[in-house]
Amino acid sequence: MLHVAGSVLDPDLGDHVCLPFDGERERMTATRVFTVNGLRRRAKVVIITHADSPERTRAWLAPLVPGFADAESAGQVEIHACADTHFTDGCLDPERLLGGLADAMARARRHGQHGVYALIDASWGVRDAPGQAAFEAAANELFGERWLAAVCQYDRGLFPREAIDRAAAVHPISPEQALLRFANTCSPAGLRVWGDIDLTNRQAFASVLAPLEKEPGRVVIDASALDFIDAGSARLLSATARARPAGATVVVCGEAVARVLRMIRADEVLAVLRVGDV
Amino acid sequence: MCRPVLCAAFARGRITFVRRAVAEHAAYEGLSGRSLEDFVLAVNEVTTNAVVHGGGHGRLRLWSHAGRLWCEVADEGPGLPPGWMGDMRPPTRYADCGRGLWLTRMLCDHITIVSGPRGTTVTFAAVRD
Repeated sequence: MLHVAGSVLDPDLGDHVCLPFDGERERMTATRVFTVNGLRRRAKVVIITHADSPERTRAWLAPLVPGFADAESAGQVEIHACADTHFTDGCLDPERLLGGLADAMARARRHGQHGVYALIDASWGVRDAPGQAAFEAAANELFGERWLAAVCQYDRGLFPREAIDRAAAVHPISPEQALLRFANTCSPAGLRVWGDIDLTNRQAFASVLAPLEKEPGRVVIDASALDFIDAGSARLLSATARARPAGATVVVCGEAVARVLRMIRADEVLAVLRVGDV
Repeated sequence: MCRPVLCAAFARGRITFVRRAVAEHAAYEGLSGRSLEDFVLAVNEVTTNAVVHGGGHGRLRLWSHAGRLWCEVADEGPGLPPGWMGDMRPPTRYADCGRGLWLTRMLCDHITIVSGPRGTTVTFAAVRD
C-alpha cells in the first residue's frame, strides 16, 4: 500500500503546500489524486513539470484520470515545462511565474472555473535551495487572495533532509506539520489567520506578516480561529507591531493565543482584543 | 509508582507531531482546559529549544507519577550558555527573550534543568487543576 498524504492533495484555494515524496510511484500517485480533486472542484489544474517533460507526464497521467482528454481540450488542465514558467534565459524569473499564474486565473475566470490548482515539481531549485526557499516565501503573498492552491513536490531523492526542512518551514502547510491558512482582508487592512503556527511553519508566517509593515494605517490581524501559536512565532507579531506606527496594530484572538501574547509581553506593543470584545 | 505514557524522538520537522501526540496523551491522562494548554505549550517550547539550540534533535518522555503527569526532554547539544540561570526570570524588556525557560517555568511545576557540554535535560510536571 502506497502512502500519499491525503488531505494536502485536496487543498482549499489559498493553500500553499510543501509535499516531500519518495520515488516515481509516489510522484505519479500524488499527481493523479491532485488532478482528479482539482477537476472535481471545478478548478483549472496547472501542472508544472521539471524532472519529467509535459509530453511524458501527459502520456502516463491521461489514462489514470477519467475524462482527461476532454478536460485538457476544454482548458481545464494545462501542463507546462518549468523552463517556460519559472525561468527566462536560464535564470529564475519570479515575475514570470507569478504573472503566468495570474494569467491562468484570468483564463480560469473566463471559463467559469473556481480557481487555479497548481502542482509544481520543485526539483527546479535543487542547485539553489536557499534561493528557492526565499522565492517560496515571497510567493506566499499571492495566496492571501485565496484563488490559488499550490502543491510543491519535493523529491527526497534529490533534496537533502535539511533542504526539505527549510522548504517545509517557508510553506504554510506540510503533511504532519503545523497548518496555517490565511486570507488578506481590507478596510481596515489586515489578515485573517487560522490553523496553527509553530517552528515548522514560522518562516511562512513571517513572510505573510511582512507586507503589513508597509501598510500606512490601522492593521487588524484576526487570529480568532487560530488554534495554536508558539512563543517564537508570537514574537513575530510584536516585531511587526514595532515596525509600524505605535498603537496601529490590533490582534483579535481567543484566550489561549491572548495568554501567549501576554506572556511574551506583546500586549505592550499591540492591542490584544478578545473575540467577544469586537 | 511510575507509569510510562509516551516516548518519542524528535527533530525539526517533528515538533508538531510530538506536540499533537503529547496533547492527546495528556488529555487521556486527565488534563483539561488551561492546565492541558499550559502543559502542551511548555512541551512545545522545550522541544523547540532542543531543535533550535540543542543540536537539532532530542528525545521526549512522558510518565505518570503520584497522580501527576511528568515530562522530560533531553538533547545532545552543547549545553546552556554561562549565565543561563538569569533566563529563569521573565525578561525585563521584550527585545531579548533568551531561550524561554522562564516561560516554561510559568507554565508548569517542579522544573529541573541539568545542562552540560554533552546536552541538556529539562524535566517538569503539569500544574494540578
